[in-house]
Amino acid sequence: MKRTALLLGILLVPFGQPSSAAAQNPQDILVVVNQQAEVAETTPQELKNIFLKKKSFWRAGSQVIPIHAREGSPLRDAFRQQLLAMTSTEEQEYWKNSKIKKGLTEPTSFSNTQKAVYKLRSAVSYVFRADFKEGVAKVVYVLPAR
Amino acid sequence: MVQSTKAPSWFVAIGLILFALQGIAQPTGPQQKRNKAPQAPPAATAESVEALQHRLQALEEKNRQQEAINAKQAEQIEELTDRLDESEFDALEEVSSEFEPTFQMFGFFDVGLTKFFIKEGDALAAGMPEDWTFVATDFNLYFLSRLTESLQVLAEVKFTFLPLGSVDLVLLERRDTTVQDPHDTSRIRLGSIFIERIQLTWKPADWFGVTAGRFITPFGIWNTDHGNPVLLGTYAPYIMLTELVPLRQTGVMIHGRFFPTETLYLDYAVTVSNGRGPADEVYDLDDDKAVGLKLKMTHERENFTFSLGGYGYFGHSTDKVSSIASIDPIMLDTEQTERFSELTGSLDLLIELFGVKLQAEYARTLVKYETRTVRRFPMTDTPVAGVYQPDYMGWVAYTMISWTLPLERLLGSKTLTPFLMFEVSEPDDTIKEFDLLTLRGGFNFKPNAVLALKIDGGWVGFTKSKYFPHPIWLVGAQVAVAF
Repeated sequence: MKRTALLLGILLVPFGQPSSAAAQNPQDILVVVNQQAEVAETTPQELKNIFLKKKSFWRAGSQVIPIHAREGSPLRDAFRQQLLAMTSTEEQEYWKNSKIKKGLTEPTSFSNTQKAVYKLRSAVSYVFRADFKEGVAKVVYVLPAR
Repeated sequence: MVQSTKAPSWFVAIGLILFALQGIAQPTGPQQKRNKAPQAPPAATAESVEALQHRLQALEEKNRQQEAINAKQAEQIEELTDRLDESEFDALEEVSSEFEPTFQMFGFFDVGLTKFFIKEGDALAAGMPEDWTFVATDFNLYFLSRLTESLQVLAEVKFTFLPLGSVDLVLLERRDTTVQDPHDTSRIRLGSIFIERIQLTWKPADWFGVTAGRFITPFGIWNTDHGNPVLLGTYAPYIMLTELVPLRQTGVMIHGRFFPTETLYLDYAVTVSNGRGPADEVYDLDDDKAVGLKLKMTHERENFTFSLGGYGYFGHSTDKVSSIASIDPIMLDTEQTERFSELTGSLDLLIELFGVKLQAEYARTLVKYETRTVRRFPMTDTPVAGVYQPDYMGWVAYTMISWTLPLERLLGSKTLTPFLMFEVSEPDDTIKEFDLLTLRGGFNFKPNAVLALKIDGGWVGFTKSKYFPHPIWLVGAQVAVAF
């Protein structure tokens, strides 16, 4: 009986049940924009360019203002690791160099990023799935938990 | 016979089964008996049960009180969080370009220790300190104001003790800026303020932006890297010192960035400026504006960067002097004393792979005179009496290789980067006295993101010079801080 259940479980994996459970991991990072933003989807590279201020506009043409979670928060650390592929020191170094070279400063950071996105039409930020509230912001990309 | 033996075994089997069933059923027997006829607890046990019930009630009451306190605290936390969020949003409105202008100030400075080893009596000693000396000449402040979503002002001002201590290479006199306060006779040595850039930028799209003001010429790598906390070594290369390409310009720059693919971007810039001149920061002495074009492609992947860029520049430099031609009415006679055109191009290459970085730059210029002036030596700008300046061509190139050592286990987030640089400079093909070959190397240590500690040394050889037959050795150390 146990063997049969195990076999059924293995067979069900490719058909969505366990994978959808994985997609609902509360540690997933949802990249969110304002509900009224024209952007519907994006890519990790575009997000990386936006959060490093190499890009200031969505592909669709509208301006985008990146908003970070507070430095030192688990959300900020996870986002930095998963999207920017940087350590904290590397990111600080990047912004120091950008300031001196081009006068580019680090994006603003807030503890309630979702509310910031709700407030600012041009903003893009991120939130753990566990903290995401439906209807407050629009999800444009999901960074799966590592 | 067989049948007679089978019949008794059936009975034995049924008997065994019934016996077994009885054995299984037996354990429920006493329990049923206990349910049917519970024994009354002794008096001492009843008291202890009652005491336990009281304690349980007390604990439940305490738990209810604690829950009430927790709920109240949660409400307070919620309220405080809301208030914090509100204050954050006030701040957000302040810093967001959507609402109010913002203003930020930051900068860098560095202090160094240098020594040039120059052969005794060599003419080079005239303009270079031969003794071990501490140097504190770079203190740059940035002012950044975002006026709207797409409009910002950036100013970078350098405060320096210069011209104190600089040497007039004609008179070989050291400049003294000492002044005395007439109120208390105290003495002050004046420094100066140098505006590195002051620019207004309007950028309505990634692919289009306009910058107006005094801006850093968008050529090469070193010139745009610009600040000592970013640069690896303590000494600037000759591509900067010879200024074959003007380092800064006053005018307008149209610029932008395209993303043909997600990991590839193309930058362009078109510059229209006063070009070079005796006072080009402030005004131009001719109507021929200098024009420039920058094109650069950058490909970035994790642990890999490749960029290739170029900048072309064409402009005129003009100088004039005026004298009074008549008194009534007052009329001026203006004479053009110098005019030349310059056609300059530069290339830059950067390849970065897992911390190993190869950086190279090349610049070449062709200068043609329409009105010749007295010849001046390149770099030092000292006049040579009795000789007119011919047309000339000059070029400079350097290659630098560096490696940020993979020492995470030993140093954590600190980085140690050794580097080696090779440079060739022929700034004027009509005078070989300043043709140089340079070899430099050193270490750049970053204990954190804002501090850079550097130590380096080098050899500079005047390869074809009669005036400067001896090479210079130099060593330097520097602490550069960004704040």
